[in-house]
Amino acid sequence: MHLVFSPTLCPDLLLPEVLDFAKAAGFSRLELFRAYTESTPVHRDWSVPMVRTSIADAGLALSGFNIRNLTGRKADSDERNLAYNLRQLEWDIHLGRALGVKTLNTKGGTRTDEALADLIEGVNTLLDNIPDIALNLGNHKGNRLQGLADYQAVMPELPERARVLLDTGHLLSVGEPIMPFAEALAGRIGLIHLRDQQGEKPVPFGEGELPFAELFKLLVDSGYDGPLVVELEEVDWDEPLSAATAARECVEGLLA
Amino acid sequence: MPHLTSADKCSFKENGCLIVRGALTPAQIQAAQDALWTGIDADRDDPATWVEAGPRTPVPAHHPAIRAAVHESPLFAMMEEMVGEGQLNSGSAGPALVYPAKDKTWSLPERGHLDGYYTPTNGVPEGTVGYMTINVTIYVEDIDSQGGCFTYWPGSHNVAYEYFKTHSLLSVQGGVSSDVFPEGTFPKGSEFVGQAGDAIFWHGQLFHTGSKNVNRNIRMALIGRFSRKDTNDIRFETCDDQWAHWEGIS
Repeated sequence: MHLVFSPTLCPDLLLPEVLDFAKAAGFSRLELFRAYTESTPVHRDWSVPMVRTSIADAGLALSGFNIRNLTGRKADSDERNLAYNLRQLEWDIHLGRALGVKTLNTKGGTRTDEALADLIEGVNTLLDNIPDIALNLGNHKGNRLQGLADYQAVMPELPERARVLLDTGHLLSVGEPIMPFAEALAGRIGLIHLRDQQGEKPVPFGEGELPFAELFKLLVDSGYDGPLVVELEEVDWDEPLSAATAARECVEGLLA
Repeated sequence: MPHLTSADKCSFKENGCLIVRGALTPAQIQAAQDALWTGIDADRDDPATWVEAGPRTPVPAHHPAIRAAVHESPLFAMMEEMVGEGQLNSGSAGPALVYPAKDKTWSLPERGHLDGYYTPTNGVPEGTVGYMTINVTIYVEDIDSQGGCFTYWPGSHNVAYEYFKTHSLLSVQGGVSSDVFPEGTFPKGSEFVGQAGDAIFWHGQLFHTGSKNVNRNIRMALIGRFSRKDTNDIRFETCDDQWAHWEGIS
């Protein structure tokens, strides 16, 4: 397993500043987000080759790319239109491919039967259309994929190239026990987003409810060898840089 | 035997466009016109009824007589001569008619746009940009100046190329030229004036626009947009060689 920096810690920083930040915090890999962060590779003043070159010149590797959600709806009118939404996601996926990423992360829509059907059909369509990629489907509070029961309804309908993005922060936010979730889906986990929390409040790694040691043991036992993304949103206990460094050291210590 | 000369290709490279006269046979022109008139809400023999008539697309692009304009003429082969044999997705050129306006005031459009950009009504998904390698506008009616000519900005593909080296494809809102050309630098456009059967090829990143028709004729044009088969692998690349993906030109 290897550690990955998430720019959600510093959503207002532009890409060059995020690269400097990740390096200063001791990371050699990072993720990027299509939305939510100013370090997005679609920032108006950046071409894709510029993004690639900057990451390489910084001595970092892009580990993953979080694309838009598969909602089955048009973003500008909220009209149900799966084909339109899939064209958006396909564009994002090819953007990720141009950045050198073959595994993309996405989430679902609202917690409706309609969104569930669109998520299943949409993921199957995307993986059929673009055979050289895999998709990690993330859990998120209030999203179509929120807890174990949602995944148990969805994953059997999807091919192996659809994997689970286990986001510990969002499981803690909805009070979903992490270990039963991880145990039930261990064979299909494709990515871990690590965030420690007390209830819904992010806290320094090791001070919250996240069972790091148990989770890591399970991941090792199940053969997981993928990324562990260190997510620190809304840090209010330290300076962001020292918080990120401390989080990295905490996880490295547990993995040693 | 090739249809295009080295001079033709050089001209396309420099200007981002190439005019071809007499690309369609009289029979192909007649068939296309006949097909279009089956869907036009006006009397073919009474020009007075053509004013502000409709629709813009009287028959679909896959109508045999419309599809023939690209695939039973030399036009598709000419595009392949520039882009590379077997490299382009097949497709067709769909009707895009401009009917005579009632108001006869006319001026040359001051600005153009790039195709493939999102607007709330054009069907392009928000946050995406369509990718076209080469496009063609074919006239199946004689079109004089001020007759709704396809209007274009020669050389503007080079400006777009330089711009996108350092900007996101998404940075051009709606594809409008004001994002790419600094204030006061947008040049004067050119009208494509032609006879039925003439065509103009234009680079996928050439600024262009339609124009108002204050003449008698309906602007009967077919417009086709063609992309390379490997579009999804190259759409985000701004290569050091602008013509890296044009095997017949590079």
